[in-house]
Amino acid sequence: MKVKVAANILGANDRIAGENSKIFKDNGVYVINMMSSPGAGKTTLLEKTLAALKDKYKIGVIEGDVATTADAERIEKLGVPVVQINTDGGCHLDGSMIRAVLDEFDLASLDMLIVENVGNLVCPAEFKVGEDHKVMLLSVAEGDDKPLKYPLMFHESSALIINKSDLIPYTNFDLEKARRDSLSINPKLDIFPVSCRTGEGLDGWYGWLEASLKSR
Amino acid sequence: MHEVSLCESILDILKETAAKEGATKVTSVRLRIGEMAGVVDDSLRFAFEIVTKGTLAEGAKLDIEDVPLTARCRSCGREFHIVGYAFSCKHCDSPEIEVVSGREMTIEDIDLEV
Repeated sequence: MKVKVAANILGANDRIAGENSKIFKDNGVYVINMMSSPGAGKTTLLEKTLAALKDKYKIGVIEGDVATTADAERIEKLGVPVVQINTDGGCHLDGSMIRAVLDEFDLASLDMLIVENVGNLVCPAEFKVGEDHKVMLLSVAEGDDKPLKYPLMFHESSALIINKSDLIPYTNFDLEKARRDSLSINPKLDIFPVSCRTGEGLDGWYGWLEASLKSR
Repeated sequence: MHEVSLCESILDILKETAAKEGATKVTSVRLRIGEMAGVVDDSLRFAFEIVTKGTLAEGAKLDIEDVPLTARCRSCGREFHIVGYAFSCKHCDSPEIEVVSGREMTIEDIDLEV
């Protein structure tokens, strides 16, 4: 017996992410889903961003990692509410994992929630968690060929932070090529070359984040 | 890499559909997978075999139809195949395009044994 199904395989996750999104909207929380390869500097960017903005806005953080609570411990030192999710081998966060920890936050008091996804340049781009925007990092040591090799995340993101710009003189990373290829995949992408180590370029990123928070 | 999670979702839908139809076995599954869905067909087949082991879908045949990545230009209205992930109109160069196909991951139909 043949049965017509016509079901979206990610339908269950999309539904939960949609419900999360409604919970966030009802509580006035703006949500960022931050993605990159392992080691691109997500947690360091988060530390810098929190230090710059935490006195102005109430920000919460969800840390996603395969294992350890190392990242949550780093964020906790800044006095920001943080919850660690360990995926125990899972390569991405999904809507139900986020839902399961929402009770840990006083959502009504938050302006913004930043979800740091599992380090992985492929899978997180497919799974919505209920975010307003996806933001991704690419670090120069990964190479300027990554946009064309892993196009989906570049296509889905609203902002691209090119981190470790202070290392450019020591690598053959071509910033213009990275910019051109990223914009070819996503002409509306806002791109910020930054160095979390020297602080160069970070003001542009903070400005983008504040502007999108206000226009939510 | 996330092919296992996808197969778990597929299995949930298969179980649900089989229960609704009063079926005990799934013998084949037809999927439509977009060019930009980030899915590797071979990994999906491998994951499907592992995930369905010991379930009503064990041994089911998996047919995967690949869907090309296409877009429609909002400026000139033409449709085209996106090559090399260049997301601007290949006729008029406008960045105002909408993806028509190539992102889907759907179960189209399944064969059941009652």
